[in-house]
Amino acid sequence: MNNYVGKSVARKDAKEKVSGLAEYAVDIDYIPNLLSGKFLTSPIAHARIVSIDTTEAEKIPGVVAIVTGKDWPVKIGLYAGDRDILAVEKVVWIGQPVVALAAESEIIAEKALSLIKVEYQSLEPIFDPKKAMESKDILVHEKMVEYNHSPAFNPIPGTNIANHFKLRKGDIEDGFNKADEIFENEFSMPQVSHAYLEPIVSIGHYRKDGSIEVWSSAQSPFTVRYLLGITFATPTSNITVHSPFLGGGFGGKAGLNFEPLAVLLSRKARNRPVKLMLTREENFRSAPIRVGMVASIKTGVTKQGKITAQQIKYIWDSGACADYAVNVGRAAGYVSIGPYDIENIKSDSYTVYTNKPYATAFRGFGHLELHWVIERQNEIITKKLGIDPVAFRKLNTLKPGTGITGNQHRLREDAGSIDECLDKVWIDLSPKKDKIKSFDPWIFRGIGIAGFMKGPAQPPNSASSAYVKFNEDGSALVSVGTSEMGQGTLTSLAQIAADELGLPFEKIKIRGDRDTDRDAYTWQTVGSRSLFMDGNAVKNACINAKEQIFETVSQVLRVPKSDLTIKNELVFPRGEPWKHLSLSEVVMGYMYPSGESIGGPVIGHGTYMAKMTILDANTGAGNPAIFETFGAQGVEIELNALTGEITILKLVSAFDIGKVINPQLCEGQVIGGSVMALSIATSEKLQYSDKGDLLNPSFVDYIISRSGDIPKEFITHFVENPQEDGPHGARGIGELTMIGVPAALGNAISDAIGVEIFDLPITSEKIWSEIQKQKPTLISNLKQKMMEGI
Amino acid sequence: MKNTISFSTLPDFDLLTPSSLNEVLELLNQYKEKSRLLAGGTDLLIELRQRLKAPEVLIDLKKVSDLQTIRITDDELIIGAVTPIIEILTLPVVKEEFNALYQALIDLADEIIRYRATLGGNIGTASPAADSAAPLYVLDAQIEISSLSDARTIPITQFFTGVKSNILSTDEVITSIRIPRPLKGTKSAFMKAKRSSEDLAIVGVACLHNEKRTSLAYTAIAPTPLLIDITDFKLEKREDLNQTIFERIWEKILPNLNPIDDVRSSKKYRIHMAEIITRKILKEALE
Repeated sequence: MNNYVGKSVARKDAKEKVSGLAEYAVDIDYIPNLLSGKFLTSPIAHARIVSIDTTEAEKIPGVVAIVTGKDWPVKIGLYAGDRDILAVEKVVWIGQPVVALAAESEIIAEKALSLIKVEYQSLEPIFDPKKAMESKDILVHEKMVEYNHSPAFNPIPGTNIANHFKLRKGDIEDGFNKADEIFENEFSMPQVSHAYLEPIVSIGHYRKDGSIEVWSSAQSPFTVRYLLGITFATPTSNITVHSPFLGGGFGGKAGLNFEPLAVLLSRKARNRPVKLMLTREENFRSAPIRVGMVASIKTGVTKQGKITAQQIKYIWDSGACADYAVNVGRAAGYVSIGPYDIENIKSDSYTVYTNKPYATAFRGFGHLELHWVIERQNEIITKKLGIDPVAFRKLNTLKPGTGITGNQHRLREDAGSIDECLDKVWIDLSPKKDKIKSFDPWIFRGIGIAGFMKGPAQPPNSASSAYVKFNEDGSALVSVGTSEMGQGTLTSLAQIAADELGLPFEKIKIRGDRDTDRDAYTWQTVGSRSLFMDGNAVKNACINAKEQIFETVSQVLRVPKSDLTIKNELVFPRGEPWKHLSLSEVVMGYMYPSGESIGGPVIGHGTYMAKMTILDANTGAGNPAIFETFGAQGVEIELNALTGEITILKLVSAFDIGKVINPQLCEGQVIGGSVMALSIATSEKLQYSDKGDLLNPSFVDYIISRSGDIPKEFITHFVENPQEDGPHGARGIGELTMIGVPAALGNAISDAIGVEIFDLPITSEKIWSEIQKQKPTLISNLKQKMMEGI
Repeated sequence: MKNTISFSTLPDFDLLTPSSLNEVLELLNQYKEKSRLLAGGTDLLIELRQRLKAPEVLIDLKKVSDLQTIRITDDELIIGAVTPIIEILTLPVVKEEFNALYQALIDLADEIIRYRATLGGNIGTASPAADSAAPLYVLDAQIEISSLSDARTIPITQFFTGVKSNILSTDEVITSIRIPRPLKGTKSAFMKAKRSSEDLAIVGVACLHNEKRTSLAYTAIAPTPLLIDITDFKLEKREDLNQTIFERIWEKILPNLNPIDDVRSSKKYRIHMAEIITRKILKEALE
């Protein structure tokens, strides 16, 4: 039955990408009369705009249009409409676009920008998310209450709190009373950049007839289309959004970003199309980044290791706008205790405004951050109690029937098993632990593990659809709405379609670019949802197409529809392949020898709707996700206590993804995701001056992992407990591959040298300074040993 | 307030492509401060895009074959200033006799940059973190400089005059770097502390040790590279170096170090790493 599902079929887009034929947004330069767009940004983190003088710039030949915030003072955003297209009354971060222009060339645009004069009146900025949360005087958005918010969110008027999510269960005080030990700690993580390879490119064309066409490096073209309709008060049917191949997205291209600005410029430029291409520095300063986090956690545990109470406060530093970050706070809020079953919970998750670049979705969507807190805390607890880390976790993990995400919704029987993942990782890590002794006394070895879970964070009515359209020769086109930004989902979807339709893989076409007019709808390409949601839609579309094919064939062969099957492009009654029609004879309608014809061109359609509920505002109770993927990751490290340098010897992962559709693509995701997470864990941090200016807006000083930093060995296990409603039983994996890595690394450092790390990134300097604080004599002793050893 | 613009274009300039050293010198003489020399361009192009420099002309040195030769004589290694780093690395003698230079160059930026970057450019830019500077200091390199009217050879220790400044006058160009072949039995090495496997140095340390002298050189720890001679400590074999001796050596070195606190590293960590690397590099030199 499965010729392709479960096999490492080569990527559909492999040749296009390696040969350079694949088209990205930057390559689109063939639109007639295309202008170059460029914007001027705020040099101050918080200020009122007093005046904007564009007279000198207007005089430059070749400048076609100049726009300011007042040209279109509509607030935009996905969940919270809190962002100006161009700053209107005040600027709220350094890098915020203030004035934009369209010109005949980039050189002209840059020259004209330098002549624009903006006068500001400085306001007191606020950068520290903890202070911002308390502040009533310094508000990033005084008018927050007037903004449009999706009903799932709870902004607190008169504060910088854009959303407060509450998770409540049992009686927290009672839980602490039942505990033998109480652990209280604080953890943090800075804002980081998505650091995708392709900077943002958006082309906007506002036509004379009021229709809008956009080409953009956008992860979620249908969301862009929908929000553009709201922004420009025009029906969705007036808008077409194209998203070509993306050079990575990781959530950074998930919302509405620079598309409205490109459209606005085009509108003012007498309907000529305008292309905005961000430089890397602009991408760092003006495009969205990932939230920072500060968390305080208090855990009650019995001597035996049962967690009796979990009290947590998360503060998410969303920067100047929280349109997407409110949902990061919400998702991390309902999963705030991790993959555990705990009787008494009090968790508060706050998304807070500060005068820094604004945050959006980021691969893991708050889960990498929250598991840093939970799984580091668990390590500290197991060490103190002297319990095996895996035994401790398994005593507390979710089991089918227990309350998922701490609330009353029960974990399904077919949901997969975190315990199996923990065991698989631990077996590969622990046996060798004490056997290898390093030659140098300043080299310490350690292992660390972390368990985790994540499901797609999406609205309860999130939907996917697909259609399958047959061609004359029996080959077929599959259309979906999900974008290709590296994950490889389209290949997996084609595998599902090929098996379902009995077609060779080569005869399935699935395009790498998206076009909202042509393609089937999907909500967004986020949250590791595409294989599950769009996969089900593809499967349903194929079933629908087969229905149509069988209808015709059953009449021709005079057999019941239910007896028919398709294999190797032939349709025949099961067991009687010699009594067949070929697909090409049927898919455009069947013609009898007499010339009479029945049936017609086959187009199958399929949909899939998320099955979730809205969460209770006071307790967080409800069903928040269509599935949870469980996993565990562990690392074995060597730590040089003299320098603080770490070498990752081995990275072990296990994920219960139900069914592996394409082993090679899954492994690719695991290696890519875990290296990305290691990079975040060990070096990535957006650093600001005391005025809020980003100090490292380039890859010279924003350090991402290089090839030499990749672990020496990867071991990956895929557990396959099938999800009954997943396509072939599959669950999502894309984001999961990152989530456990930082905590596993922190735990391995603790294991190696007994130093506890609470804040990311764990740079060599960080380890060195923590060793000095926590083990004041260690380094001087080792220095001495270094000179003695001959 | 001047508008801060993130430029994606380069400013206007004329690109001149001389094919001989003499033409280069004539052009330099003609344009002087209005010109900039283009070697690998790995720093210059970024500075141009960021409008930190606005030269009228760029004098491209890549087509001048006289500047791209590597020669080994009985006495010295002579590297043309515009020789790409990757080519220097292919010469076996570099690894065999000038190990400190080899180790610095194989760790300079990343492989793609090494195809483009040049030794003369690395020195000429005069960054305090220039990876090649530390080995060239301990190896007693001489810098050959020419102008239309004159030519001079100076020890590299006199070349750097401050952060991103050097002794070249506006009509001069580095033509080659001459490194004397070290005595038989000389050991030299370079190590740097960095934030990822391919990074510029938080601190760089080079060491040279033979029967006549022991010296150390540092980069990224003061406005210019530093050379510190520790021959006086009479280190001959591994046993001569112990904790007490090292502390005395470090007492001599430490007052010379004057690093900065920045996004790359704190001053304290730079000094700590300089000390740890010095311990390691000396130990290995004596083993």
